[in-house]
Amino acid sequence: MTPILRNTVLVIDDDPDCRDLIEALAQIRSVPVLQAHDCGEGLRVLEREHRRIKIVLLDYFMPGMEPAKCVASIVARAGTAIPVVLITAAVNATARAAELNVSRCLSKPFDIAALETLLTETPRSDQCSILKSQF
Amino acid sequence: MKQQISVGHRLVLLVAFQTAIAAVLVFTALSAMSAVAADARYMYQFQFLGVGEIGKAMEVAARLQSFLATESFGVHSKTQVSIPNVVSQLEAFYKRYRAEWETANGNTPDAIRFRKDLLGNGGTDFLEKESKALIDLEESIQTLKADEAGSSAHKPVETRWSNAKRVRENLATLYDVNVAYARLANEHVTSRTRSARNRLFTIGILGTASTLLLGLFVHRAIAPRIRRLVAKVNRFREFGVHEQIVETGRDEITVLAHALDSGFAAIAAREREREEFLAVAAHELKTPITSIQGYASLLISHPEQTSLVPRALEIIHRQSWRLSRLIEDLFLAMRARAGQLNFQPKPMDLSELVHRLLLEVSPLISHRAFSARVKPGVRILGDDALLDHALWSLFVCASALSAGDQPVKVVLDSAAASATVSIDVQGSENTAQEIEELFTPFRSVQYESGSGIRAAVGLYLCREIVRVHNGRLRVRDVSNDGPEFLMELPL
Repeated sequence: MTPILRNTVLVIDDDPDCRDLIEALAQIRSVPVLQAHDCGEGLRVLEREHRRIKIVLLDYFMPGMEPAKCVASIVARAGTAIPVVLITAAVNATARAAELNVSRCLSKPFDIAALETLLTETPRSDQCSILKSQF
Repeated sequence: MKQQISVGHRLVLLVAFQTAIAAVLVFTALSAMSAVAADARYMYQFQFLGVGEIGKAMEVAARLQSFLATESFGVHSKTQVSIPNVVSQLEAFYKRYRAEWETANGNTPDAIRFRKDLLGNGGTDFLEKESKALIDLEESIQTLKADEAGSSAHKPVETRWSNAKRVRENLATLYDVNVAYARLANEHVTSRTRSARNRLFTIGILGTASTLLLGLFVHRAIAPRIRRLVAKVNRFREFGVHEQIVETGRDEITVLAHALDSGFAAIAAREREREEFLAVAAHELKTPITSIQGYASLLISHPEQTSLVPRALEIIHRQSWRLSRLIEDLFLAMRARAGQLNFQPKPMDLSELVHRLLLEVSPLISHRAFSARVKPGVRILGDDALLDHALWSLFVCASALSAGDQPVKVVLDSAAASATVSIDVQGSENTAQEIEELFTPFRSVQYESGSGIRAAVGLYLCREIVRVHNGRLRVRDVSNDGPEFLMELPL
């Protein structure tokens, strides 16, 4: 039996342009991407594909489920093996991440190189850093 | 609620008390002055005048005695003395004394008052002396009179001299009694004056002390509270933090405190609103910038990815449009909030505007279609630029709130007095009441459409724009499919 490679990025963001941007960059670096436009859909994808997902990029403001509940549901389904990275246009990204008990965040607009690093690295769930914060 | 005397009442109380004290002092001073004046009159008329008249009578008696003494030595004096006249003068004095100056049995108010003073201070001896002196004087005068009424030859001159001497001695006794009276009266008057002065002094001291205490009471009831208010105002001015001002009661300071509290609360709320607005504005602006910057960076860092160029340019173009709209919306919303919306109405074709906007907005909102029913030739008096913004925001918001892939229905119609634009929010999970909340100025409710377009700022602006057109913009539940925006503009 062939082992499943954990190499896919799940992007949960209601902005399709942002999802497309991440996917375009991921495709260049041959990183598979799964998209979800809200948390509900993201959880369904996670349920289905959790064995090959290596990281979840989660937007903060989205219609539907509240961010804290969304993160809790992700952790309930995938455990801590799949790290969650918060991507948000909010002014205080680190505070938002701390609210959700998420150790990493990516502030919009993000640097492409930082995003590329994030997509290609082997994730460490205990790492806490701000990858880019221009605003 | 704790009852509290108002500041005005406190001050009225203080002033009333001070006025009462001043009135008592004035009244007491006037009484004292009246008493002093009365005593001065009394001392002159009842005491000194009597003593003086006794002195005169003594002089008359002494002259008579001297005349008789000269006669007794057989020497005729050059100075002729009319003995009946002298006796008459002495009788007149006696009667006048009894009427005006007698203390022992006198009925004048001064006599009664002085007698009371004497009786109160053990002066009965003087009264007895006076009575006796008066009886003796009367007898001696009558004897003298009898001497002169009979034949002078029957009475030796020595006897007549002796009788005259007795009159003078009785007058001298009366004089001594009256001098003692004057001394005692003076003591009484001095004592009364001292009492009046002490009374005045005591009332002054007590009044001043009471006024001071009452003033302190008023001060303690007002000043610390005002100082607390000033401290709160200063803290608010320095740190901008609104701490609730707690003042119970119903007096003017409480009213002032509540007014300040609500004023500070409003300023703090405005400040929070401004901060929230800035947060919303930053978030709104950063979203399109993310796509624009991201795709531009992607093309620069990976120029070999030529297949991405058309898609990237399309997104950059769309998001640039969106960014431009957002900036314009924010600017107009700020002007509307300050009541400075520049409204320049002109006759315009609303049908044409709705058509044009639907054509413009459709490609910018991906995965969403509009189904329009627009009555042609609906003309109104309006500001084309402002209505452009309002309708744009409504179309975007309706598309953001509508569920799934259902088209957004837009209907433009007109009646006798108004044109109406209704925009259905199909299949929305939000009620009309929830959507109504989004009209709150700069409300930081974040919602995003499937295309990522946010419209939290726009709805407030929409309503302001419609308001300056003398129209109305509302949200209402019309069917099971969801609520609708209804814009009514006068024709």
